[in-house]
Amino acid sequence: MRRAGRAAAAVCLLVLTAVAGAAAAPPRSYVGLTLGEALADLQSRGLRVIYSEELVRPDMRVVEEPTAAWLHDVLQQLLAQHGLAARVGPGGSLLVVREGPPPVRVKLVRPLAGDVTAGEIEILAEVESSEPIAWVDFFVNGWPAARVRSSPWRAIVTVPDEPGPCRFGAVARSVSGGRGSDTVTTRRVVLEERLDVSLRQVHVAVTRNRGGPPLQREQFELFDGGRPQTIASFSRGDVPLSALLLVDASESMRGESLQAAFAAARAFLARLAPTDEAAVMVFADRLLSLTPFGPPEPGLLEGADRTPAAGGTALNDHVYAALRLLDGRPGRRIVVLLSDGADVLSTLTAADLMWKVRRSDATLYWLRLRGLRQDWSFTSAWRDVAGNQRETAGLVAAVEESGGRVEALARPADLPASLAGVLTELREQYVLGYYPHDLKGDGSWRPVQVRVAAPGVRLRYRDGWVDRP
Amino acid sequence: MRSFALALAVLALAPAFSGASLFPRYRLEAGYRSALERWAAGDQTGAVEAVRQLGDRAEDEGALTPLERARRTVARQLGRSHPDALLSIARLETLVYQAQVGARNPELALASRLLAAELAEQHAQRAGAAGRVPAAMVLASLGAHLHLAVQEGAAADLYQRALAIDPRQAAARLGLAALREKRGEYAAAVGLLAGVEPTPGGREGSLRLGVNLLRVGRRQEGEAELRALSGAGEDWVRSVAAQELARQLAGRGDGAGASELLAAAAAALPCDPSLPLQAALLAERRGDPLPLDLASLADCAETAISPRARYARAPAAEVRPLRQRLDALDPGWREALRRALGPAA
Repeated sequence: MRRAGRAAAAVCLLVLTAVAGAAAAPPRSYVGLTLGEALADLQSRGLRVIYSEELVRPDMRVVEEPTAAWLHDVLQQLLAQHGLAARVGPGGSLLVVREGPPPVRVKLVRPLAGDVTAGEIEILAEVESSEPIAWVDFFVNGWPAARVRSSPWRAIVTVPDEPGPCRFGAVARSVSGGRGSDTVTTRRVVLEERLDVSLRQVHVAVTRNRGGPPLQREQFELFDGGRPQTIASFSRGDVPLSALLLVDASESMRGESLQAAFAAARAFLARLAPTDEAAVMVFADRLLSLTPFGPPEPGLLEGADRTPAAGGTALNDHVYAALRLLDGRPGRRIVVLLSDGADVLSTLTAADLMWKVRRSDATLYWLRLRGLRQDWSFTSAWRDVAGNQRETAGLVAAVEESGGRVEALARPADLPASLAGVLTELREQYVLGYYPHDLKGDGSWRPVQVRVAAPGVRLRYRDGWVDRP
Repeated sequence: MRSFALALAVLALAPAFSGASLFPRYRLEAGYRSALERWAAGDQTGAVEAVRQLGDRAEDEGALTPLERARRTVARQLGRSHPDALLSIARLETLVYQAQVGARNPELALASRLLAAELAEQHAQRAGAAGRVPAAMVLASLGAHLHLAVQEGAAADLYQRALAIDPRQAAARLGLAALREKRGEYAAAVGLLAGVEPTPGGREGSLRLGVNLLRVGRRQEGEAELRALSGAGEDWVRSVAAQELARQLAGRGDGAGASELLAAAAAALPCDPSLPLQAALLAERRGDPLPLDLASLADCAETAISPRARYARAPAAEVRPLRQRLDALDPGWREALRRALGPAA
């Protein structure tokens, strides 16, 4: 009995030693070795690692020293550097498998941190990945500035004329969805000379009971603050657009509605002119995706149109974000909102939005995908029925205040025609320019009125502006 | 002979008057006992399936009412000697309810839900003061489940029944307060959350209390609750508290205070989708525009949650602790059921 006991104890000790010897990792350096060499070392120490040369390629090297104490954890750390992982296989072996997309490394090499930047500059990034890169987005102070689809990863961007440092960012995506980013902060030179532009433009949409010849300048009368104004410039349509498509991807849009929205957005982009620019923002109760402004190619939607529908609806918040994104963009600024719902979860109110609308030159178009239903009778923890109805009415008022309109659509299939109608209207709008007198810069509201000496004509335009400092 | 024949005739005709044969009632009771024996032995899946199948067969045979009677009869018999057995059966019926919902049997699901609630209340009556707290826990847990499934009327009913037994039941207070708030009954929500120490739901409960105190015009108390939450923590509670407090401060002209509050919260919660927008608008209104980093917000999309969406959902703060406590009590209740069922169990 005693001999049996001693023998059993010896066997246990041997086993424990073997296990401990196999598991514990005396420190050594792996940096610089190929991944295959590193795995061979682990195999020599007792780990049964099985892998294919497809996954563990000769060009893969260890770039970071593993810090774990146990061999199994060392293995995981080595593999993670290349988007791989180990899973338990037959007989307790460890199989190397793909764990998500391979990492993407991005480094901004121009400008450098601390550089002084002003005006137009070149931004350049170096990108490393074991997979092809789909695109690199460049950002300036958080705003999308450019998307580059092929190496060299460079673009010309404009440093904004604002006080404080300027932050440049680059985000690279690989074809399988891997992502890497880098940011650099520079110092800014602010040019003090400013041009005092006081020409105001009023964009007037005209609808008529019956057709008729185009209206002429002399048929229009324009009033600012009740006083008649001289129309200094007059044109019709064909002003370059800065269009932001704001797509609601909340849960209620799941399925046909969201697919129709993206399809209509693609068609809308295809109908824009080469001189126009566009961006797409997808949202629900939070921002889901955002493209930089760029030429209106259908490819602009790439990636964004794979956003799945989920979450609640924060309309006010994202309309505000859209208006902020359009501040300072060239051309005629418009937001086209494709949504089926009412605001439920925004932190900003419709009154907040109205404040911004009055100070923005952008025009809002809301294509509502729930038909002509006016009764938004629902409650939430944030608002009761009356509150929700007030908010919806407030958003409608803000859209109309911007000189735009709300169009109720019975079916998602009506979207393309509706968007085409928006574009036609924009191209056919009259643009009246005038120099307002008596500018005070006191933040007061200046009402505007436009009249036309022609029968059966209805006008829609922004009926005022804020005399900002 | 005549008497014998008459007796047989009465036996044969009795079902026509009673609405069911005698033999199926005993079969139903026996079937239910058998399911309870499985439950008491720890075979959760088997027990739930057994009760479900009993319900399916009874539905096919048009014997739902006799089945409900049979279950109540069995439960009453078992509960007489061991009141805690009632809570164990209530727990089983809660699981059966969930299974029937999943199997799209609404009538059977409702029957289980009603029975679970009744048994919990019977326990509270039989077990006296000691039995009130666990009975209320069972009711509140069932209420929370319904609340999450957006069965709000039924959830409110269960919460109220829980509070009738144990007025301090925290999950019921918190859940009912959220439901009252959703109906615009802000004063009722305040009444459920205030004056109880600790505040039901911890941080989440304090947040709901603060928000609703503001709504009923108790500004100072509301701001005090929100101030305590808005300066610490890295969760959605802090975000909502900061948003609502900042709105109050901005509304009375303290834009600087509001901006500072939002900036601190946004720094602690870099992926919060709401704080940067509110801060940006506030800064713009003050004539000092802030850059708005939409790219970072978009980068956070996969992991970010909307704090306002989280607030609008059924409160969760008390649910997990409640369920953990129920799980801890479960073995004792099953033991009581085992004893009540007798040696065969």
